[in-house]
Amino acid sequence: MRKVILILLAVVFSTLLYSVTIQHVCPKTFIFNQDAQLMVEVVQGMSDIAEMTLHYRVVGDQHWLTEIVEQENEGSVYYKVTIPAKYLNTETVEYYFSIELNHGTVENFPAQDGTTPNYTLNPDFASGETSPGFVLLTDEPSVTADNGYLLVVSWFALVGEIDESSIEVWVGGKNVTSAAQISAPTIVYKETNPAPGDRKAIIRAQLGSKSIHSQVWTTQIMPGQGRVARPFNLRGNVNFASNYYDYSTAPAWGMVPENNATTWADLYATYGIMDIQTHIYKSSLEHSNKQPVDRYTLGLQLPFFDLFVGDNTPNISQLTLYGKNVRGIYSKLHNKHVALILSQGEAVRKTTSELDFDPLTAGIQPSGTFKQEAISARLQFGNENGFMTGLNMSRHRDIISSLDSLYYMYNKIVDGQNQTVYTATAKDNAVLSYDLRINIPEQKTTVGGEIAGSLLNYNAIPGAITQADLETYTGEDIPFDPSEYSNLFVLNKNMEPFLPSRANLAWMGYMRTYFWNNLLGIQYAETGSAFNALGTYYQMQDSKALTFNDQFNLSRYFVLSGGLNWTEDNLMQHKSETNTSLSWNAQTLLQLPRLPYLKAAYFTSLGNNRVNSEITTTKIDKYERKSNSLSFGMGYNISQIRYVPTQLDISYRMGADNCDKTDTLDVVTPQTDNENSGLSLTMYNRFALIPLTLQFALSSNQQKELLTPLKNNNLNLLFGAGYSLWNSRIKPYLNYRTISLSGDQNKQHYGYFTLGVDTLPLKSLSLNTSVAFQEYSNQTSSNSDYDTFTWRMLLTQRF
Amino acid sequence: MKKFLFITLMIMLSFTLFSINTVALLSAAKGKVDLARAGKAIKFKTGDLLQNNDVLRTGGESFAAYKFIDGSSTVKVFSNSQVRVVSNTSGKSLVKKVELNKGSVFAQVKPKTGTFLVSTPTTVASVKGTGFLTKITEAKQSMFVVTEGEVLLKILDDNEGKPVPAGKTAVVEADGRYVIRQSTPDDLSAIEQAEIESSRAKDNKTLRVPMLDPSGKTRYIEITY
Repeated sequence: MRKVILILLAVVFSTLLYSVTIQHVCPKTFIFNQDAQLMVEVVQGMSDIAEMTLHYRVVGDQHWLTEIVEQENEGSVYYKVTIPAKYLNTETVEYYFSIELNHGTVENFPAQDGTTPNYTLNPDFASGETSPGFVLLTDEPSVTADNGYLLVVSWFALVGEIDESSIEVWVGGKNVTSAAQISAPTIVYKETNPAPGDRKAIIRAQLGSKSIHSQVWTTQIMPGQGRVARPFNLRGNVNFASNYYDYSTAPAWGMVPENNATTWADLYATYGIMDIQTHIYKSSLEHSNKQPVDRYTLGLQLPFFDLFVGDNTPNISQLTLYGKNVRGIYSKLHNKHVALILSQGEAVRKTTSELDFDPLTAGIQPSGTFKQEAISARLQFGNENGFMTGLNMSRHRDIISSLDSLYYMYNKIVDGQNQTVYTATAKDNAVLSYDLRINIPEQKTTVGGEIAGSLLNYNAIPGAITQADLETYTGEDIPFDPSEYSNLFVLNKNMEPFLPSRANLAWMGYMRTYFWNNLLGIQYAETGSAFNALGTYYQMQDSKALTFNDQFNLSRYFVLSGGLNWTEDNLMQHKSETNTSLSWNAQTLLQLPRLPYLKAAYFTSLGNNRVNSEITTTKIDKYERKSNSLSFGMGYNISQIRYVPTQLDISYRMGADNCDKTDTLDVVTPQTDNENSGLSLTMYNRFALIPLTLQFALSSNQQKELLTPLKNNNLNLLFGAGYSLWNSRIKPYLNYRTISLSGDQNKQHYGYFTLGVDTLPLKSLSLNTSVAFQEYSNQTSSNSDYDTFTWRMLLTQRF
Repeated sequence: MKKFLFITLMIMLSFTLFSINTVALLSAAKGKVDLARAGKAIKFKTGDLLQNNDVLRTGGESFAAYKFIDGSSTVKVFSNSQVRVVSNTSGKSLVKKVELNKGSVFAQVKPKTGTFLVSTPTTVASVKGTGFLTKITEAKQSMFVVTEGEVLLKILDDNEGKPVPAGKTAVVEADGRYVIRQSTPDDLSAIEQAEIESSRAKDNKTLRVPMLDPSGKTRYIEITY
């Protein structure tokens, strides 16, 4: 039993220890109206990643737009994503990455805590030349909205030299060429009742084979006396994706992906002070008897009121309801000093499992999942810019009536007596919390904390206990009848624990500050053994954890970051054994202009257990688990090869992990002792004279199990090529990847061949499709061999 | 002297050969301002484009301003004035001319931006980078008040150019007699003085800081430095 607990704890700890670490070098600038490709390197925790998403917006916008960050290829530590060209013109764009882990939690890079700045991209017009031939005639630095916005540009000096049809007029981040009057030698663009704020404008044109542009002109539009303009803006995207799979023979591991098709749309509209958004996601994988995959959201936001109907993710507080989907209603009534948030809806859908029912043997029984209703509220005083405090509550209740009793209970005769057996239990969970946060912008410091208490009834099906039974059970006079309050919370003997104590509490405190280019974060949390919050993702009960991280940036050239994580269980000192883990890491990146960049990372962790002498003096089996890894590498953008600028990256990783057990007789037995090392090389060529790109990646890894001893190798090789046709409107590409496993393991081989094309048939419409062939062969067991065919398609219309 | 004649001839020739349509932007019009094109009054508003030979007339307590399309110069037309906007191309540069028939104008011209002329019934002033006020008085005198740079005057059929430096005022009588003297405050009306000052203030930078007033409305603090 102890071994099982030890293994479980080890798994839990490893989840905490190996949360994801990424390395991302922000390009800082983008080229006007060209796609910006961003790359993320996952340094730690690859296997924990379920999905990575890029969130981006023009600085000052309210809504974030998103793009899925795709793994470069299967097994690669590099992820890629593109910010579409249409969002990259005159305005500064900010972005961050969110990574959803397999166990549901989401980590943001950089943290979305109000202190840490997001990555930003500024316009860089290096793609063309600034021409003095564009002369701004309306050069008033500010105008009032009443007078309208007028842009008059003369291109007198360029008449006869530039192609008039190539002139593009960009105002406020939008291509307004069609609304402008362009006639030699002037360009006139007008807006009546413009929205107040800074309006940036730029003119672009083709001069022979090169692109030229004006300066970026900024005009401040100040609020007028008249009616405020209410322009209607609509933007978003509509998408369709499908995946088709075909297998010659089912893979030995038996998981055959289901053919699927998905369509989704994100629409954002603004009209005056109104902000409307809809999100629709419809998948063929949706099944009424499984947890929902489809998503439907309609949201309305006003300066003082937010209302979302459908699927939403209310963030009430870290310890009550945070980051979980609720299908229902979310509302927030707020001003600068006070806010009231109410949320109500379905957190879990009712499902049933139709198994054979045999009442005589009471063998396999049908089962199910109750529909779970979530109600939450937050009353907040202050705001995130200064002092903020909030009182929060959430209640998650399994609705017993949502399931036929057939799916959650049956009776059987034991020793001549009829006994009720539950195959599913209905839970009732309530959490009350108080949080406090102080933000000091001048010192770039945020300090905060939260304390929460919870109640959990792990089976409310028998109903509330009566007052008389409760008095009998506790031996105390109880001044109320629990059954009268069962609509709020069901109290019965299935409470965990029956009487609330310190074990029902959880609390956390944190501080984040930015000083001398350092971004420092410290967090400490304690979670009682009986604290349960069904509205939050994983809470490690009966534990305390200290997290410390720091990131030092020297301009964009040098980044040094590090972190420490310490956790210990048995907070309540109820168990005879206490498990501790300590891990820390350091990463650095040095990137000087026109020189190779250098990077290095080190991770180490130590986990062990000890006897809790307050409970027992009996010796226990002790373990000590250590692991460490070191990686270093360098890369360079070889622009000196004029005809084939090449991006090169070489990394080497090595690591070791071992676990020793010391039994009660103090005999030490090694449990595991492993070493691993790997070398990876990636090269990306972009030809200057023809629109051809080539990609080559090689990685060779070796794992040694020293105790067995076993030595296994794997070799990954990737070759990719892409070509652009018709002004990048059609981009065919192909990839071939091979993985060979050798050494003391069965010799195996995976081969992947992908052929695809990305097209832009119409403005803002993209169609991407690919076919992929995969083959697997096992030298020892040819019965396991299989090959597969996958056809993917993605259609996206942006507007 | 021959050079001056040659240049004048070339300018006049270029006016006849290479005239273009859109020549300026009407950047301001306050009070009673009329615009005539090909002899007919037309409707207009601030921000409209002016064409070659358009005539601007201002009434009492009125004001107009326009900028030539090469961005080189701004012309401010004061009250009770009448100007013809003339411009032609000469190679890759624009030759600009302000024909003042009545009233006063102030011209702000960037250096090295091509030819810029202001003509009155008696005088043609050519400038290359300067700020100066031209006015026709009730006594039919042409007055040139030079605030920056230098202006070269050609009076009636006298082919010799008369330079007028900054800080000087040239007064040309209807019969061609002239005097160049130190400028005095009396040479400019209060409005003209204010406009010239505001033109100089363009070199200043202005910082506007949005603030919320107690009622939540956005207000701006303007700092000029």
